[in-house]
Amino acid sequence: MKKILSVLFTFTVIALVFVGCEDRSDVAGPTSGSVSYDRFVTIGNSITAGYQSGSLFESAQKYSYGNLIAKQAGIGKYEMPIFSDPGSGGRMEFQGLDSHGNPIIVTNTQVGAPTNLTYPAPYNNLGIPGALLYDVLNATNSSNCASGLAGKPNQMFDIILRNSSFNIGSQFAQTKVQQPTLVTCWIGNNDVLGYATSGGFSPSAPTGAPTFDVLYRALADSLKSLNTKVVVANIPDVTSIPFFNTIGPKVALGTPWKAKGIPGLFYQKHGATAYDPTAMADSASLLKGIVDLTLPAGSFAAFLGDTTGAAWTAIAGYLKIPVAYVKPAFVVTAYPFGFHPLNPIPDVLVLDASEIAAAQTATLKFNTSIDTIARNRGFAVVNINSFFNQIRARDFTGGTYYGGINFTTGYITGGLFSLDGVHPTNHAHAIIANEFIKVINAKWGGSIPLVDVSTITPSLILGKKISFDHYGIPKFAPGAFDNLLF
Amino acid sequence: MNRTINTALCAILLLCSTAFGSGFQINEQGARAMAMGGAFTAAALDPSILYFNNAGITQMSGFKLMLGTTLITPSSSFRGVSPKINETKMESQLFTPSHFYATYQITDKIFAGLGFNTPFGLGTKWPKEWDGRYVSMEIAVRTFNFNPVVAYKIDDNLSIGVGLQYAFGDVLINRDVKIPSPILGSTIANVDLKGDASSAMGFTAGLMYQTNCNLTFGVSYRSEVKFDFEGTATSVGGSPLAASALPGGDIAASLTTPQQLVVGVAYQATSKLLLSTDFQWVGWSSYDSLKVNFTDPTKTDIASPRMYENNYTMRLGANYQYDDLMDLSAGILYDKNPVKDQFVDPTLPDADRLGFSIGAGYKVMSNLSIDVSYMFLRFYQRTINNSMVSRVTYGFEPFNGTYNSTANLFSLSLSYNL
Repeated sequence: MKKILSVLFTFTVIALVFVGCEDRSDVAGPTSGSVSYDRFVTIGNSITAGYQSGSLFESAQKYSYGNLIAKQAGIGKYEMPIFSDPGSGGRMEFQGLDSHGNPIIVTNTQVGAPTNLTYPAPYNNLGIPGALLYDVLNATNSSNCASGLAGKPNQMFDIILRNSSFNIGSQFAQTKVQQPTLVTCWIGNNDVLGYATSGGFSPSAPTGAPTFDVLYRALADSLKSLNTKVVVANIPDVTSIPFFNTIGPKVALGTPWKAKGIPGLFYQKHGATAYDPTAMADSASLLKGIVDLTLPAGSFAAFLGDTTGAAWTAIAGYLKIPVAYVKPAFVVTAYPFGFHPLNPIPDVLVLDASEIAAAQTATLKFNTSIDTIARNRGFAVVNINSFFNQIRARDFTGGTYYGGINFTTGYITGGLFSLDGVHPTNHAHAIIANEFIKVINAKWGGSIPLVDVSTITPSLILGKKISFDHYGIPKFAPGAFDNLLF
Repeated sequence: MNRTINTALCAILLLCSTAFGSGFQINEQGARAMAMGGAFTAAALDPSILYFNNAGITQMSGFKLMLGTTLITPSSSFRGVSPKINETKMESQLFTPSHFYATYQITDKIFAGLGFNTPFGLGTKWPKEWDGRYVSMEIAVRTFNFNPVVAYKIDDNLSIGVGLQYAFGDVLINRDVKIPSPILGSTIANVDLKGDASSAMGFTAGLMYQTNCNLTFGVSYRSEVKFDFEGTATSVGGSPLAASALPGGDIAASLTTPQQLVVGVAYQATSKLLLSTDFQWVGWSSYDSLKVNFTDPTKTDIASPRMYENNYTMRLGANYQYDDLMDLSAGILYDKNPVKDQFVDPTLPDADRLGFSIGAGYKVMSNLSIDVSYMFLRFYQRTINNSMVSRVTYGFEPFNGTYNSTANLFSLSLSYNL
């Protein structure tokens, strides 16, 4: 018996030794590498600001890529110029689907208010909706920003820079006083986007490439003088966004071309003052995006074939200018609108092949400047253009998965673009944040985890009902695009 | 009828099992064998030799019975998903794979026996809503194996044996599925796949050769056994809109347990001390994919690549006859796991491992003895950074991270000579 007890005792001791023995080595957790996120500033335009669906509002700002990066890096302080919902005005909202399964979009007439105006220092998020490259170094208020100088003051500069009380200066100056440890700068989109979204109408050309190069060089030298870690992003091909790729295919598929003997959609070339039967897009051109119709053109698709002139009244109403300013003198409204060269769709709603080429050429040149100038100064570069092109290419092979969710660049259903067809959704911001994080990690040896895209709340804002037309194109309420800044 | 018997047996024996050879093999089929690190192919010390080498039952005179069970408490943790290092511990479970053997000497040369084992099994369960919920919440595979054998003693040195494997089993796979929508948000459902299989067949064969100089050689072979599971899938939760995308309805899945070949040598070093070593080869490469097919053609079949590689285990054991009543055993093993880095997943957080074991046997009565043993398995820490296992249901995000596992095994067997 004693023997058994001693054996059992030995057993127990050995077992306890093993049970208590948890052999494991440490695993390295996330590290930021040689970069510190402690004082992190993001410079940019509406995308950086977190602007969505035609408005800047808190529930979208929370998902701005800068804020998501700050969260991933574990820093608590990332101050933003918060607007309470529904934001800065004119927020587009999704009411549901009509009987054809097409979206119904409404504009929220309510306006929110800035809630963080008294924050006693410049914001970490210095993205200003509407900012051009010129503005980063030079604009300090609504009237001396590029659009202000052109006669369209942009209040966002006053609200975000707050120079009337601070008098610190431009986006760059406000970055500098924060002595940032990491700066991201994503600017230049509007230098081509404004041209494109107005159908090449206003402004009538993108910022000139030499001008862009000079401005970017000056900005980069200033950023370099901060003697800190800098990340810049380049400019995606704006002609691939839903703002340009939604309406054309719908019109192509919804018009009875053959049945009615219509050869194609006639449009006014930029600045054309005379009848031009060559300014025509057949259904294949519309379908393939050789000629693009802008998203606001959707509001006037119902007028195609109209012979009363009502289309011109509506378009002038939408642009808030007299009919004479938009309707060329040669137009004879008795011909069917859009289906006859004497009553073409106006330039402002159309991005034709040469305008698409102008926008793409500008983007290409801008990106060459950005890449060269940034790399010469040791900045990290996020190639958003190439990244977006890859996503766009995969549209045709089933889309792209992030966090188990399938995305395409399609309007609304694609999940990447908010209702204005230009600005990224919450999900797209998470995807963009991940591209920045990857580049920052690679450049400075960090391992900050990527945002789990599957945990991001969808952007879609639900609103009240509006009507739709026989093309199944969402009928945008008058003024739906009024407040749109880029 | 088969199913009734199967169910009844399961209920009576309360058998559960888990993976404690690498892959999901269970080599712990007798308390003394486990104490010797499983190096038992040439060591016919008790009726469990029927499992380890059926030719060895020619060393079991008369009529012998053996019944026992092994209590297994595995513990695993996962740190990830990289670069995060959040730790998740596997839920603790107790598994009790049991064994039963009867051997009977028919003539001087002919012996027969019947074994009942759970040679393969798997059971892992992770907490609700953990990071790997879309990879695995719970998996349980159990196989039960009846093994009638006959052995023939060709002469005083050489014996051969052959046996039949008649097996049945059941399987449970549970995980969350996320049906994504970029617009309306994602909906999460829990999917439960259950199935059972009966009448799977295979065979075993063995050879044992005793030299005249205290050395014994053993060779043992077990064939593959193909299980055809049939059952149902049910999905709970999730938006009604997503119902059509969720798995459901009747399912069929097949699983082939691998063949194995073991070669062992035992050496009677002194009259009291037996040393034994085994080299075990397992043909895991047969397990290239886990496939679940849905009867409903609108459901997407599930296929998870496994791409196991053949593996081996080296075992070393000693048995010491302390006195007429008591014997003591000890062993060590090194087990090379069959799972490639890319395919390691939380359903089976496998890794190479070392095992240390001890045990004792005691003759309680002249014809009844009791064996107890303990084994500790230490898995090498395994960090995966090239995972092909996706964290998400749709699309691909690598499930990288670090696994740590250990297991404690206690075994008890009773042997009775009629």
